[in-house]
Amino acid sequence: MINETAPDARSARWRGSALRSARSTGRFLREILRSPQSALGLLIVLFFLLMAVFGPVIAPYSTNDQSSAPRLSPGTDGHLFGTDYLGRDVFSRVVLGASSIFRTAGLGTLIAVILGTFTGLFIGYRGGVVDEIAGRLIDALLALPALLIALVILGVVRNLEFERGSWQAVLVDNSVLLVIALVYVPIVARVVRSSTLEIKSREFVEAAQIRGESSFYIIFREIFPSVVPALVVEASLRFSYAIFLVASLGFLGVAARPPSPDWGLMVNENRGGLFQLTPWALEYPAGAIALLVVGVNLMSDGIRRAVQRSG
Amino acid sequence: MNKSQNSSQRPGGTQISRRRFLQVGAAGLAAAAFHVTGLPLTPAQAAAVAARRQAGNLRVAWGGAPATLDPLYASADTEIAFLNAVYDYLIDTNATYELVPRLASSWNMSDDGLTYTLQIAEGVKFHDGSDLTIDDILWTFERLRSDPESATAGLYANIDSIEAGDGSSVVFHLAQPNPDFLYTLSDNHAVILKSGAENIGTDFNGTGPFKLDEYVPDRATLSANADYWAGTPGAETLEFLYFDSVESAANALQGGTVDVVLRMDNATFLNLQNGSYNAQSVPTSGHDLVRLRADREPGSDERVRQAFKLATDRQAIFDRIQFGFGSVGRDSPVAPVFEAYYTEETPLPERDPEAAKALLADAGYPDGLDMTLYVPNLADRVALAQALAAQWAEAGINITIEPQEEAVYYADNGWLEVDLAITPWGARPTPQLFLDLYLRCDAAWNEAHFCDDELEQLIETAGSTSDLDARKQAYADIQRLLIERGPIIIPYFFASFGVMADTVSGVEVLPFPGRTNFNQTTV
Repeated sequence: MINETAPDARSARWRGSALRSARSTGRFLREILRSPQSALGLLIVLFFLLMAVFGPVIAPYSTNDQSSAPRLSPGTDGHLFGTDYLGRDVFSRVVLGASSIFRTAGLGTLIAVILGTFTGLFIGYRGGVVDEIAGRLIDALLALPALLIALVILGVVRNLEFERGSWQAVLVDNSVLLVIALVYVPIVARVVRSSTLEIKSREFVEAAQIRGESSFYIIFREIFPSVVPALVVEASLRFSYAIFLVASLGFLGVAARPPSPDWGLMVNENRGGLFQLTPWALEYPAGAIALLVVGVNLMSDGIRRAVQRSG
Repeated sequence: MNKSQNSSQRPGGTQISRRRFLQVGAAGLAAAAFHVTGLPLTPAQAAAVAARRQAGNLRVAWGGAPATLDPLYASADTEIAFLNAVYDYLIDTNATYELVPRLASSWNMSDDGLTYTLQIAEGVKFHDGSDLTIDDILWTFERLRSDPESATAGLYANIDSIEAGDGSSVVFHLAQPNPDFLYTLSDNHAVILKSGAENIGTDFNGTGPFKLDEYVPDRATLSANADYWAGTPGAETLEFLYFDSVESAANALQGGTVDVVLRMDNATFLNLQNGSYNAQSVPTSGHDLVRLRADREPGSDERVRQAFKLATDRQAIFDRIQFGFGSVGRDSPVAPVFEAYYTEETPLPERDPEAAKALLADAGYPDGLDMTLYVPNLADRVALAQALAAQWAEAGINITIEPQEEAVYYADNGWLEVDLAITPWGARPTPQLFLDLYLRCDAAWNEAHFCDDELEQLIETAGSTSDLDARKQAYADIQRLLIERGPIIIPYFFASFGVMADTVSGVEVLPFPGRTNFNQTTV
């Protein structure tokens, strides 16, 4: 009997929950926008996101175009942010650099969140020995500073040589993104695991278990929705740390190859004696990093508040 | 120091606009802290700076510290500067690489070019009061030739024997004629030690103008050698201060806690040059060598090598990366500073990316070339790589830049293996040294793997004949050959920099900053 009615009941529940989630997303967004700071944060992030998407259309010059006069100060001769010591347009480079930040930090965070969620849900739900072993492993990984792990991995990977176009070469090319993901998986997993531990002892989970639902169903239909609020907060926080990490790696010269317009790399390239000659070539990318991180932090504050309010 | 002051007094900004203010604010406090160095001093600050300077006490700042002070292994500027103050060389070289007498007051060469006799100055005393004898010189060169692993063993391999001559002279017998032999005697390692000296590198008993008083990790304090054979030095004390970076050294100069800064990057010099300092820039023979392996494709094809040369705009690179300091290169290590041998007789073809593209198509690369450019991860080299990448792209040469930490770049001779690379070569006093080091067929550092019979013959002639005209002709032919078919591009030669307070006089900055003499300097 259960088998006959279940498909209908399930699809009705799916539809209902889709509606509910659309409605709650709307409420959630309104909740974020209610505080001016979080609205500003959201606006800043959207601004940079648009920059990342439409960068090639907006930027008047290409990344390594050296046709302009070097060391023009901001505003002169159509160079809004001036030119650097090689005669490259700083405005174009800052705009074009946005996409790499979103690609590495954004996509890296996304991968970390997905993998971390699976891992956290699984070990949290299974508990017992699995939890003990995985939990210790995660603790061990967390003991190492993210920047250090990233530096070691990138330092090794960058000097490996593969044929162009091979899958190994593709992995190496995207190594920063993968490293971000790798570094943040345990952190996300731990957050999800602790939420899971708490939720799995609730009655509705026990009810599902008594109904004879599969573990898969229980994890994703019963537990996962309750983990989402904590996950969203964690994800936005991770994103802001990831931007910082990517910028640091760029500054240290392991994230991007010149003449990439990576913001961290630009800061590194224009410090020292050059800073007094062309301060703008350092200030704008540094300002972009600062602004984006502040924006993401304000936004994640708003998300946390909204999560708490909408319970 | 508040932010508005910063933005209003920086070059380029006169009014504090809101955007400017926000811009500085966004760059953060760290950035603001750096700005302070660029500001003109207030009268009160200037007075404080002046008060910090003391007559007779010369303070020289470096952006680094010595690692070893044993003359056999020392090489960095900081190390050589220390040795140059405490010890004496037989022969010095000046700003245009001419030989200058020091302990050797005069010299002559036998007609066959195999025997050199040097007259040694009289009345030279070591710091411990003993007299300098010919034995000390023999012992010193014995030591320089003793370790087969050392750089000097190879340098002096051509010396057959050394002996004391008549009066106070020393005689060098060579196995092969070498017209540049006297330059090898002026080598950075060749300071004269006391015969039988022990604890070399920690105890310093020299004949030099200054005696060591105290050596601590971040400074060396020396005092004038009143009995110096060439006259008492102008300064009573000489201090070498070792900073973490050139920027800190430059800041110390601006704050008045040091009097002289030697050896710095182009941008730092440009900044200091705008202040009220005595700023000296000297062209050298040091250069960044851009080279293409010539023993395999694609560099083995002369047309490809020519295409790279045609696609390069040396003047633009010189202006942007060297800021106009030093000199523009002509693809040969015979630098303009070698006045006797440098020539512009062979014209350098005008930049022409289209012609370069056509040459590449001719050579079988109609779609251009994809290549990786290996470069040590040092600011100026990475900048050069980016400039080259932009210029070559117009000729269809697509470059992936691969900056490597120096330790990785030179590890396992990787730099000798790769097809396309940039290698910095420090200044040397003769063009022959560069040719012997990296352009002869069997040279240990023949990075380009270039082996050309005509070039080999010319280098051989230039390195063995004592006839000045024949030498000049050989060097002219070498310059022509390298422009026509060489595998190397030399876009510029570095400058050597020294900046000093206006209270300092009597310093002549040399191409190798560490060899700058301070015995005539007064504060």
